Amino acid sequence: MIKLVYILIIVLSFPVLAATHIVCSDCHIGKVSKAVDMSERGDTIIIKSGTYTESLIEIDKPLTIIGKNLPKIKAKNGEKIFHIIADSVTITGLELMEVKRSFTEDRAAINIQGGNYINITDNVFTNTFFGIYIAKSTGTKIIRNRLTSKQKKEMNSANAIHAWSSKKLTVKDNYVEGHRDGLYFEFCDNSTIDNNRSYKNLRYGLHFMFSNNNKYRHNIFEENGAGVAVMYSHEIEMYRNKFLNNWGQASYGLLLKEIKDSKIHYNLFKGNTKGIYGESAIRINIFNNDFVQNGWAMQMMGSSEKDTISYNNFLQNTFNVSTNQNARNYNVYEKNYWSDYNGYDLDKDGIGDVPHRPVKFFSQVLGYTPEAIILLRSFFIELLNFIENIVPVLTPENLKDLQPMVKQLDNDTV
Amino acid sequence: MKKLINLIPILLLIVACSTEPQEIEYGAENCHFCTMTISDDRFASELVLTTGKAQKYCSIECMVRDVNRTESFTAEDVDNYYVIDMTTPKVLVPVSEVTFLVSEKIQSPMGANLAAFKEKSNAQQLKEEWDGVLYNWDELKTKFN
Repeated sequence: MIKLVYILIIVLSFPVLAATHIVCSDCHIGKVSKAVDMSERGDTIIIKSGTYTESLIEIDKPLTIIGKNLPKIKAKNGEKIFHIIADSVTITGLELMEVKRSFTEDRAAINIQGGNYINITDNVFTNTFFGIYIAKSTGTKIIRNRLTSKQKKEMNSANAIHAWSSKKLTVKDNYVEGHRDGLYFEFCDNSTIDNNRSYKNLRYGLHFMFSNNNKYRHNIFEENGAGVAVMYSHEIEMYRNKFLNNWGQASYGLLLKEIKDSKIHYNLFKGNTKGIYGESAIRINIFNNDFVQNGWAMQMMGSSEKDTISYNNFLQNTFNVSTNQNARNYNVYEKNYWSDYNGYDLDKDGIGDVPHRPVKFFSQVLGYTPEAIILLRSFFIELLNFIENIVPVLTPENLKDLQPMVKQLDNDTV
Repeated sequence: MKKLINLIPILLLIVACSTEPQEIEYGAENCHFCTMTISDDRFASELVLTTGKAQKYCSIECMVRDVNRTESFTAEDVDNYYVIDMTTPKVLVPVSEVTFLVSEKIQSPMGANLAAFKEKSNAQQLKEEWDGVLYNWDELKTKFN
């Protein structure tokens, strides 16, 4: 009996024998698809540098695919390259290119359909329609990839990293440029999006739709059509991101539409047409952010309620706050620093003795007649702003910061 | 001849009031319902009011939801509704001429998995291939109500 146990232990302690297959243009395996066909579960495929033209490669077993010195894989006829339906697949160190648009199919260089715990790391995507398309996946990690596309027109490009109906994703340290949306999440929960850079995408740098309990932190969104859109979602944590130079007529740093119970802490909004634009944004905490040199720092529409805006710095914005409400305001503005505050602090407690009204008469006028912007710096408008400040007619009477800070806060966002 | 010349301004006025759909500027215009930038030229839609004013939407589902919920206009105010055949992007087609298909394989912008097809056979074929349900405009409005 004891002998049997010994044998059992010895047999069990052998590692699973996983084979390694090497692909190169003059090896006996000259195609990635051939190597995948030959592999068993858990095998490793090493692709040496070179250019490979491949038609659709379906991966239906756990595999590790490693590129040495960034081999190039071109999509034959512009179709998808990898289609993953198995769990635990790793793809690392490849350059994937030339996936073309189709009207009826969402083509991606790497297409994950239902596979869980997939790792896509250190790859380069050049002019792929969708870069990485994730559907019905849990625990997948997308790390240190670089996705660039040269499309000038929005409809010819798709999203760089597109996730749909997935959970617990990690999207970290990626660079995305020139796509429709840089990062896109629809029906995705409990995911983390950290440390990515999203640059010059045609629509949004990051886009959430119907996605709850997600975090995005330490990302930079620069010169996108609009920075980030969070729509029809709740419990989103937005921490230490930079929203820079999202400039244009219909452009925002951050668009909030039908969003609830979320936190916006320690972010930098600089040089945007509108820093934050909120419609039906409910119970949002906007704390410790810096709004610098935006057209409008915040535009909160009347449907936005129970929001708290505290400890933010509003520095050199053309307008700090505007709203389409002129009767009442349902949000709290408290203890912010306003660079255009001209009150005083006689008791020297660091809090201004006179409340500050961040909504200017003229910004309300612009809500009705945008063309009036040409009067922006006129003396008459300054006069009207002053009068409105004393006798509010067009601006909500109770929209005011009762405890404005006299010194700029150190939010350390830069 | 002079009478004819007098007619020109009147003709111009008539042209100016036409209720033809307006071209959508993708990537620059925002959806009338959800405020998202309109970007996918396979799914956008538009309705034209009898006044000639056009309201543009990022997706068919946004237009249907707006029609069902809004208080700013009624069915009588609308001259016509236009959608795009998924297989011929950008071309706006009146809703009376299309068949709608809802299938999980279709990733429309606002999550309703909804697209339109001018050729019914096309829609039928994709319905078989992708497993979905076909609707006409009236059925679609009821579905989203």
